[in-house]
This record gives sequence, C-alpha cells and structure tokens, in this order.
Amino acid sequence: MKPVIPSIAHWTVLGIINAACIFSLMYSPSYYMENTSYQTVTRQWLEDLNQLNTEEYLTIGHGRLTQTTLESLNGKIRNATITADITRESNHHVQIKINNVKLSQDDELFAIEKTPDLFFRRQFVLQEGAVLNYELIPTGDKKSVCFYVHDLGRLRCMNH
Amino acid sequence: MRYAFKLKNGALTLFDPDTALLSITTPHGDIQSTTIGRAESRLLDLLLTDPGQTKSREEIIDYTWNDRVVASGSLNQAVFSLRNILNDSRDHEILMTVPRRGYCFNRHYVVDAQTDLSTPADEGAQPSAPIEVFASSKGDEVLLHSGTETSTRVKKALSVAYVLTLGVCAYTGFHSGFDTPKIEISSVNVNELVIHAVGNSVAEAESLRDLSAKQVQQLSPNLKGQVWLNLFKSNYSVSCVRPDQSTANLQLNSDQKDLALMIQQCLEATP
Repeated sequence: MKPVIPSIAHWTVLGIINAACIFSLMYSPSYYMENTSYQTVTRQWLEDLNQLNTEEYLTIGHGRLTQTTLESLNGKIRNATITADITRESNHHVQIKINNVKLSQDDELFAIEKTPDLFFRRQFVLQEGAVLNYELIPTGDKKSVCFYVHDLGRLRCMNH
Repeated sequence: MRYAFKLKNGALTLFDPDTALLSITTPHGDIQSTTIGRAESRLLDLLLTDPGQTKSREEIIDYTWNDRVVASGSLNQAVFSLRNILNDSRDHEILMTVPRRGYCFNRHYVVDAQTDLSTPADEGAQPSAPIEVFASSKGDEVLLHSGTETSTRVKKALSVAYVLTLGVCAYTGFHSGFDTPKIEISSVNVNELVIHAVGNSVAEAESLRDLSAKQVQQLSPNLKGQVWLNLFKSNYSVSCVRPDQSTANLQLNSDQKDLALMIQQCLEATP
C-alpha cells in the first residue's frame, strides 16, 4: 500500500516554496539607489607618466544605465556617453547591453596609442551591443556605490 | 468495511460485502453496478480482508458457505464466476491460484481509498466517506462520480501548480544571478582605515590584502576611510570612499608607483 500524502500537504509545500521565491524576488535590497546620479573622479597614469583625468557620472534606473565620462589630458577635454539596457539584475549584479554610444569626436578618446590595454577596453565598451557585467560591492553607506566590471577588470567607487 | 481495487483495464472497483454490490467505474467515468452472488461475495470479502495472504480451500469453504458441507466443485465454480466478473478469467492475475495452498487476492490491485477517492474537503473529517456514500443508492453513485471527477481535477490542479512552482523557482534562480561570475573580497582594518582587497579568488584577494596591509604600515596612522584594491593584469585599481563620503579612483601600472602611496593619494588628494 503506497504512503498517503494528503493533497493539503502538497498545497502547503507548494505555497511555502512559492512564497519563499516571491519573497526573495520582492526583497532584494539593492546596493545602489535608482535614478540617482553618482559621480566620481579618476586619475590614470599612462605609460609615459602623463595623467589622464576623468570625471564619471552614472545613473541606473528604469531598466537603463547611462554613463558619461569627461576626459581631460594636457588641457584638452572630450566626453563619451553610453546608454545601455539592463538585461539582468539582482541585488548585487547588473548585466547591461550597450545600445547607444555618443562621442564628442568621431575618433577615439585620448591616449589609446600609449596604453594598448586601455585601447582594447575602450574598443569593447564603445561597441554597441557589448554586454557588461557589473558586480556591486556593499559599502555600508547609501551615499556611495562601488562596483567591479568583470569584463574590463575595472573597479570603481562613486558617490552622489 | 468497503473495499476498493482496480481491474486490469484501470477501472476502479468498489465492493460492499454487506450488499454484495460491485461498482466498477471505467477510466471513462462510466459506472457499472452489479450485485454478485452470495458465494462470490463471501469469497471476495474473505480474500480482500488480507490482500496478498493465501487462504486455504478449507478456510474459504468454511467462511463462504458458513460451515455447510459443499462439494469442492462449488468453490471452483465460485472462483470461476468471480474471475469472469473481474475480467480475470484468462491470466488469474487478480484472484491468484497458489498451487497446493489455495487462493489469494493480488494486493497490487488494491487501491488506497483515501488517496484515490477523497477530496480536499473531506480528507480531515471522514477518510472513508466516499466509499460509504457510494454503496448506498443509485443517486449516491452520482456523488461518487462527482467526487472522482473532483479528485481528478485536484490532481490536475496540483500538476499545474507544480509546473508553475518550477517556473517561479527557475525565474527566481535566473533573477538572483547565481550563475554570474563572482569576486572575492578580503578585508583588513588598519587603524581607522579599512582595506578591501578584491580578487577573482579568495587566495588572490588575501594575497593582495596582505601586501597592502604590510605596505600601509609605513603611512600615517591618521588615514581614515575605506579602500578597495584590485590587481588586473599588471594594473592596480585603487578606489576609495573618504570620510566625507566623496570618492576617488586611481589606476596605474604596478611598476609605476608604490601601492601605499596610491592609497594615501586616493584618500587625501583630489585627483
């Protein structure tokens, strides 16, 4: 004789599993604030020891990510803006697909010939359709957000 | 006591020994009710009390004919007749002959009445209610038929619920990003400075943490804030959140500058 499992037990188990799944979907404390403009400054030493200074602005919200970079080298300033759709998202991970790139000039940004690694990374980032994986790092502070871009090996902290 | 068992074509059969009523519900839902003979009813009653247990010919005759003296052919006739009723006359799978011992009812055909017949509403209170209701009158057969349909609907609903749950779990797993690459972070406190080393593995993160902790010993103990470090190929990235909650990021080749100096610059200077 087979063991009897009342259907109420089936429904209870199903209810618990579904409730747990829905709870985990709804309760996903994000490490960033939506529709908030984060900014930061970055200094990069090139191989010729020139300093490439940038200001970076980042906004995430409504399934979109926008990042603008103002870059200055030897008194010249250029900018680039990328917009991307968020294709996957969890509380500590955002995957984006770049759908639009705007450059202040048609040619590449500065200094690419001096740092090959930078050149290749830019080629990747500035390519429409490129997919980037951001891993958000908890900072313990709502005013700042830190993340690591897996595809570029890039670490950033930004604040608003 | 009512019994439920299945026939070889899957038809659910209910047997009430008090009324000798045998009700067969076909897989299509049709119900055929038959009152079987007294001898067949007693025989079936005895065998169903212990499904799988062999009853001797003597025991069966004593029970079936109440100690009346009958010829052994009477038992053979009753068995033959019952097998015909149960559509078991060809291979005797249900009412089995045990050579030189007797007969037994194949317990694999016995149905757990609670599982197969009950509905969610009556499970708690009256586990055997569906069988009792069925056996009493023709009008009640409709109730049983309705109960069986309800049970089928419940099973279908459960199947759908399991599939949906599977979908919800899959979506949750997909959404949680469990398959995404992950970084490891190893942290160390140096006075009021917190250094987080970021690596693709724990060993990588710990190695960078130890290196940075060693190097910052030479810096001022007044440095405050949080610093995240990463070594990608030969390039250091230093990102910091200062006490005033502003942020800065430095990048350079590991050959170009001292790591401790970079940490200090990140925390103190405006790039």
